[in-house]
Parts: sequence; structure tokens; C-alpha cells
Amino acid sequence: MGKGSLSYAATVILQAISSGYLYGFDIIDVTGLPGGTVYPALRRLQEAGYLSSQWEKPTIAQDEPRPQRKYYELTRSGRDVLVEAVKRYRLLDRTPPRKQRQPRPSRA
Amino acid sequence: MFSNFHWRRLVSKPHLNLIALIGIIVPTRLRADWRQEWEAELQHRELLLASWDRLDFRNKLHLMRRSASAFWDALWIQRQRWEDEMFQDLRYGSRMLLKRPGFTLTVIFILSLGVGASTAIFSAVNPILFESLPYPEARQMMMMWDHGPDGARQEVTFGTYREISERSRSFESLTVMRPWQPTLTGQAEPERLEGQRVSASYFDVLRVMPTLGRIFDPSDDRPNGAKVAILSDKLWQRRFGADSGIIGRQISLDDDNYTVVGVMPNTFENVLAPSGDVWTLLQYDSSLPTFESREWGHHLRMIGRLRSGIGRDEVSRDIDAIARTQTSEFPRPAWSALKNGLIVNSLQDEITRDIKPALLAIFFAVLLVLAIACVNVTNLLLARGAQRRGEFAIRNALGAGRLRVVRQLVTESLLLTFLGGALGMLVAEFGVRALIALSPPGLLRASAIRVDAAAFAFAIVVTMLIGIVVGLIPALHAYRADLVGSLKLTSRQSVGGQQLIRQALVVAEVALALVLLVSAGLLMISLQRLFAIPAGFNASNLLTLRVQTSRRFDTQATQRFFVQSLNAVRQVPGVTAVELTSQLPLSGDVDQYGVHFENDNQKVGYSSFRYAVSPGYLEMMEIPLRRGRSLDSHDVAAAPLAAVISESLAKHKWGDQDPIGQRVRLGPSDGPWHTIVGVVGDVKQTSLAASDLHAFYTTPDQWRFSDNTMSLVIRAAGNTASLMPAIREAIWSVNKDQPIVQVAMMDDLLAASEAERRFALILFETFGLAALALAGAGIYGVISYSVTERTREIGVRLALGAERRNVLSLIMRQGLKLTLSGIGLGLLLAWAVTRLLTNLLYGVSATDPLIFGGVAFVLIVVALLACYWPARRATRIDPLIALRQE
Repeated sequence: MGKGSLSYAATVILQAISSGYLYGFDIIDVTGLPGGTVYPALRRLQEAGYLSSQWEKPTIAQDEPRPQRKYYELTRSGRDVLVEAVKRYRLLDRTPPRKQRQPRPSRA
Repeated sequence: MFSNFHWRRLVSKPHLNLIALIGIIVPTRLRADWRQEWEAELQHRELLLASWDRLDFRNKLHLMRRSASAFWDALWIQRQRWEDEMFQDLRYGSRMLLKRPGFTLTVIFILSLGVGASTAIFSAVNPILFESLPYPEARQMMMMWDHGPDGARQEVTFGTYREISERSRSFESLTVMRPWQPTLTGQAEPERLEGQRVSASYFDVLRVMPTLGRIFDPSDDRPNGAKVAILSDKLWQRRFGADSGIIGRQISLDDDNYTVVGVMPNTFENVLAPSGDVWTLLQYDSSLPTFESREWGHHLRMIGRLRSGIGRDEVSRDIDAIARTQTSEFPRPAWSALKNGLIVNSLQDEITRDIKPALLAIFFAVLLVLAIACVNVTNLLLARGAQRRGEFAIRNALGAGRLRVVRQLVTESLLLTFLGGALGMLVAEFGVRALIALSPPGLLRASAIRVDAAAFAFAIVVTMLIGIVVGLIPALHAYRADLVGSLKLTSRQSVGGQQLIRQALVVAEVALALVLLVSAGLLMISLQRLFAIPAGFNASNLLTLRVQTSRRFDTQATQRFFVQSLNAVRQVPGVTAVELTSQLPLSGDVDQYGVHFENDNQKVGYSSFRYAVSPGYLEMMEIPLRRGRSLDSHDVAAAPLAAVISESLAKHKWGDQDPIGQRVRLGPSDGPWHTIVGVVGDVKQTSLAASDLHAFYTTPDQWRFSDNTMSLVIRAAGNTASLMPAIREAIWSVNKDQPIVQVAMMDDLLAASEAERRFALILFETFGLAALALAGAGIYGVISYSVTERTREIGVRLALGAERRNVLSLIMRQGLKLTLSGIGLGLLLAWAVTRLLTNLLYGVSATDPLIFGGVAFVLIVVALLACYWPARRATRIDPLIALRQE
């Protein structure tokens, strides 16, 4: 992926992370993109050096208790490329993206 | 809420299992991290919903879809696999293979032949031997036979069919059938069709429905019922231009009008009549009026579809019970065989009964070739591995584990075998075409022979097995080897254990090749012996024409037509002789009648071939007259009835006494007496191997029925075949509506009668030669390699005064030792295995010492040749150079 040619989905994901949605399923929920898009995009962005990632300490997850999270963070070049991309995709100014409808538990 | 126990339960859920499954394709070093992230994602989803057990179906599906999306993620990660060790191995392996193109191509070539040949043969035998028949629930289909007088299978009577279908509870449906060869007339020239007369339930039993129209209506299946026909797709396309308006139209078969009621789909494969194109109803009388009627003739094949849940044993018991208890409702004639029960067997077994031994033998043979090819490739890989010891030692010293080296070798051999397998598929494709071209006519399910999914799967499994087995032997060898020691050696130096394996492999190879060659040899001798058997008549340059007359012709018209045709053909310039016969030897005709002798209480007559022949036929065919006189022009309808019998029948009844003047009844035991006027030599009717030689000859005038199909046999000066157009014109000048149904040179009929054996022989010869070449190459490889290894030793010997002659014999002895061990082992193997071929052999024992000895001799010669070149190279070693090498 060359510089300055971020896809729409990648831009949305970077935007979400910069808005404080820092881990996989949170990003999925906030962007409304499917997991099969988000995770590969996260890996690509990380490979391109726009993101760094880190697993949270297992103890935190155990205390909550909930599954352990892998936190993503924008790097400096990530922030730069996001600013560029947001200029191109003007629509994104209307952030934060809308919340996705939550599936409801069954009555059973 | 989240006890440890609960977490474990979460992992056992299907959406998480799916992640674990997809995780397999994620490169190992990334896998743990990848799985953890996805599992967290899904657990999070689940927490948002409810725990798995409490989810409804839609939400479960939603979760499963989410886990499935991990697949795209996993796929994307594949890019990073290039850094994986496996791909390193592959890339390195490909480089190594490209570096030695000669070695690589040889291995790929050998493997592709092995895989290709075995896949082609598998494609041919699979539909017949392993696949079930192309009908729904084919396992439930049974075929039934009466017990014949000598325990053989005999076709059933309509009476038996009636009784079984009324009394038995085991069958969902039952049907009987017999061949039917009607002549189709109309706009185009008359054509004889292959077809079947069947009972109305025929297509119910097969469970096949027509694409157009309907199947038969049971109410039409009675004497004088409506004349209806169902056509094959092939006939419909060919003769009726695939006109969908054909249903309800009339076509003319045997000069009767039949209404077409159905057209079968083009996918319909009929194993009961592979070339059948038209079906009509049997229309027998199910009230079974008398015992003398056709309803009590043994000429029907019966198949039935069992009710589900009923097995072969149950139906046999059921039929036995019916057979034992005769009821007044179903009277049986005295000769009815039903009281002995019926032979019940699955349809699949019954229709493959004749061809199975040959196909199994051929399949077995090709597997042997494959095994030899594998042994050869293993040997090549071993030699190659030995050359690379230094390389492995260096890799090991640099930190590569032994397992890594083993994996490298297995990767390389898998790469090689997959290339070989891919090329092998191409070979298989061509092989299948060759097989179809070579296959004996009427080979069962020939249309199903192709490289299909099953054959493809076979090839892949075979290829993978070869890749692993062939790769593991050298790899394990590399694993065990003393790598540190190897570092000190150069590739030239010998490592004892390896040479031992290679020698063992060559011994195995020679043994397997011997088994194949012995089998091929036995078949070859069989065929030679068969063709050396006199057919009993002079078959050379003899043209045969089978002519079928209209069924509208009465006896006189039929006879007039044949006599006029005979005379017309006699006028054709170049024709020197032409005669008529009701049945042609070795053409597939089988027309047998019982012969009863005077003053003989025998109830069942001697089964004999019946020939109604024009006077002069016996002389023209050069069937030798042994006693009495031949048939002549005085044996007309009004003259006393005369018969000529075969030598074998005469001997059987009278031994060496003179049968001339004795009287016989031909056919039904209430028929008129014929006086034996002559005895002629035996003629082979069904095949050259046949031993049933009883026969009698009469003139057509003196036979009680007129034959509406007769064959003309024609001799001419020069090339008889070239006279064909003139002969055809001559017959049609008599009546242009009579079809010539078969034209053949007698030599071709003779060859065709043994087509199955010949087919097996061609394949065995091909495989045998391939095995011989591979074994020779194997011996050459091992000896050549050993000479290279022993260069220094030979140099020392030469330097110390050994003669070149001694060196030559040293190397030759080594090769011969291997070959002889292989031959010893092979002889034992062959002795155990060739008896499986017994059915295909004729006039030769399965353990014929001459063949065994001859093949062993051929192998020794090949081995000596294969050893000679390396041995000669050894004698040319320059001691000075050899010693300087270290």
C-alpha cells in the first residue's frame, strides 16, 4: 500500500482509532465494517507502519472479567496519513461514526 | 461469572472451533496471536448477545458468519507465508531441482508414466469393478438364472418369471427381457437396430424415466397388445432429427407399425444392452396356455429390484421356499428348472462376471509398473541424497536441525511427485483414449471410461503416497547418517548402509519386473496357441455378409429371396464361390438345438450347433468330409430328410463306429427323423478356445422353419473386399428393402473373437516392456553409481597390477548378483501370482517352466547389458588420476 492511497475502509479505521476506539471489536462496532475487512486492514496498516499494537496485560482482562484486548495506536506517520486522507474523504468530517445497532439476545 | 470452567466451555463452541480450524492455514509463527485476537472478538460478540446455549438460531448463524469472516483475514496473511520455513524449503528445493535438470526430468518422466498409466487403467476399471451401476440404489438390483443341466446358468422361462413375480414378496419390481433386432424402414435405407423386448416393468426396475413421453403401460403387455416403442436418445437424434413431435408417431419396425411412446435421456446407460437403441413390449401370454408355447422356453434374462431392507440371503431363502412348494395355481412342466431354485446374484456381479478377472489382472499389472517406477525414483533420490551429503553436513553445522534436513528432502520429493503427477494426468488422458481405441468391442460401460473425479482423486492419492514414501526413505537415511563424519568426506566416498538399501531396491525391482514379464509371456503364448488352433475351415480371404429378410416374408418368399440373392452374387465378376449358412462360425452367432438319437432314452438332447446351409457350403468352407457324403442339391424339401453331423458329435455317441444311416431328431423330441448321411470335421463356433463342437448341418429346404437371417460367404479371385459394392448392388437388385446387417472378413471375425485376450495381452506387453526398461535403468543406475564410488579402489587395484579383465568381471559379477537375487525372489512371487491369470490362459500352465526360464534369461541379458557400460568405464579408470583424487 503506497503512501497517500489509503482506502476508504482503512481511513475509517484509522479515524476510529484516533477517536479512541482502540481494539478490534470496538472498531468493528463503531465503524460497522465486517470483521473480515477490519482485521486484514489492521494488519495492513500495521505493516505499513501507521499503527502499532500491544496486548493488554492478562490480569486486567481477568479482573474485569472479559476477553483480553489487543490495543492499536496510531504512529506519527499514521496520524499524518490520516490527516491527508480525511481531506480527500470529506464525508468523514461528520465523525464520530454512528453506532451500529446491537443484536439483541433471544427471548429463549 | 467467568470461572475457568466457563472459559473452557466457551472454547468448545462451534464458532470458536471454526476459528481454530481456519487457524490451520495461518503461518505457524503468527497463529497464536491471530487466534487470540479472533477468539476475543467472538467472545465479545457472544457476551453482547447471550451465552451460546441461549442464543436462537438466527443469532447463532450471525456468530458463525462472523467467525467465518476470519477466513478472509487468514487468507490475507498467506502473503507472509513466503517467509515461512516451508516456503523456504520449497524455494530452495526448486532451485536444487533446476540445478540438475537431467535428474529432475528423468524422475518426473518416470513418475508421470507410472501415475499416468495407473490412472488410465483405474479410469477403465473403476466404472466396472468399483462404482455401482448408473441407476438409483443399484445395490438392490438382482439378476436371476435357472440352474442349467450341467449346473451352469441358464436363462429363465416366462412361466418362472410369472410365478416368482406373483408369489415372491422380496421384490419391488421384476422384469424379463430378450434381445430384439428389428429392421427400421422408412425414408432412409433399411437399418437393423439393436434392441430389447421387455416386460412392461423394465424401466421401473432400472428406475429410469424417458425425457420425452412415457414408459410402457402394463395393459399393453399382452398378446396382440398395442405395438409401442421407446427409442434411445442416440437413435432419436440420428434417425429422427431429435424431433420432439416424435411421440405418438408411427415408425416401421420389421414391417409393422409401432407407435413411439417415449425417448430415453442421453444420460441413460443401459448395462443390459449396451448398444440397445429401441425397446418394445414382450407381449407374452401370462395365462400360460400350454407347456409347448414360447412362454416355457429358456430364453429370458430376469432382473429384479429388491424391496429396501431385503438382502440377498433373504431373497434366496424366499425363492427357495417358492421353488420347493409347487402350487396348483402355477403349474410347471416336467422340465422346469425352478424346482432346483434359482441362482440369485447382484446385477453388478453378474454383468461383470466375465470381464472381472481380466480387468483385475490388468489393474494389478499396472500397480506393479507403478511400484517399479517408485523403486526407481527412490533409487535416484538416494543417489542424489548421497551426492548431497556434504551440503547437508554443512547446513547441519550451520545450525539446521536434522528434522529440517529431512523436511527439505520430503519437500523436494513432494515437489517432484506433484510435477510428475500433473504430467501424469496428461498421460492418463491420452492413455484413456488409447484404451478406448484398443478395447474389445462391446466392453461394458465403455462410455463411462474417462478421467473423472474418481480417477483424479486416485491420481492425487497415489501421487501423495509416492511423494511421501519415496521421499521418506532417502530422508530418513539422511537423518540417521553421520553428518559430522560426512563433512570430512567428499561426495565420492562410499557409505555402506546406503548402498545396501539401493541394492535391495534393485532386487525388488527385478523381482517385480519378472512377475510382469512372466504374466505377459504366459498371455502371449496363450494367444499364440489359440491362433494356432485350426478353426475347422479355411478362413482366409473369405467375405461374409449377414442379410436379414423382412418378417413379412413367408417361408417361401424368404427362401426365394436367398436363392435369388445367391444367384445374383454368383454373377458378380470376380466372385468364384458363394454359399449360404444360417449361422456363421466365430461371429457371435449361437444357435443350438438338442439332438435325440434313435433307440436312446435320453430325455434332454445333446446340445448341438445347428447350421442350415446351401449345398456346397461344406466344400466351399473346406470343412473336411470324414465319412459318407456331403449335402447336395438332391436334398430338397420332398427328398428324404438328411443330416450331416460333426465328428465330435459322432464320436460322442458312436465312438469309432460308423454312424451313417443312423437316425436323429433335430430340435424338439417330437420332430421328424433325419438320416445321417455324412460326418464332417469340427468347426469352432463360439471361440477358438471353445470345446463345444457338437454340430449338425441340413439344407434350408429340409429344416422345419425358415431362417430370416442368413449369412452369405463369398470367395473371389484377388481381393474379395473390393467387390463389396458390386455384391451389395447384386443383393439389392433382388429386393432393395432387405438390410445387410453385417459385413466382415472372416479373418477379422476370427481376431475379434479373441479381442478380450488380445486387449489384455497388449496391455501386459506394454507394462512388461516398461518394467523391463525400468529394471534395466535401475540396475544401470546402481552399478554406475557404485563404479563412481569405487573409483579409488579400482584405481588401487589397477595400480597393484589387476588386469582390466578382472575389473570388468568384478563389476559385472556385482550386477549379476543383484539380478540373480531379484530373479530368485521374482520366480517365487510369479509362481504365487500367475495362477490369478488362469482364466485368461489357454493351453499353457500358469507355472510354465519355459516361460519362467525364458523371462529370467531375458532379464539376465538386460542386466548384463546394463552393467556392461559402467563396467567398461571402470576398466578405463586411470590409476594415476583415481589416486590423485583424494
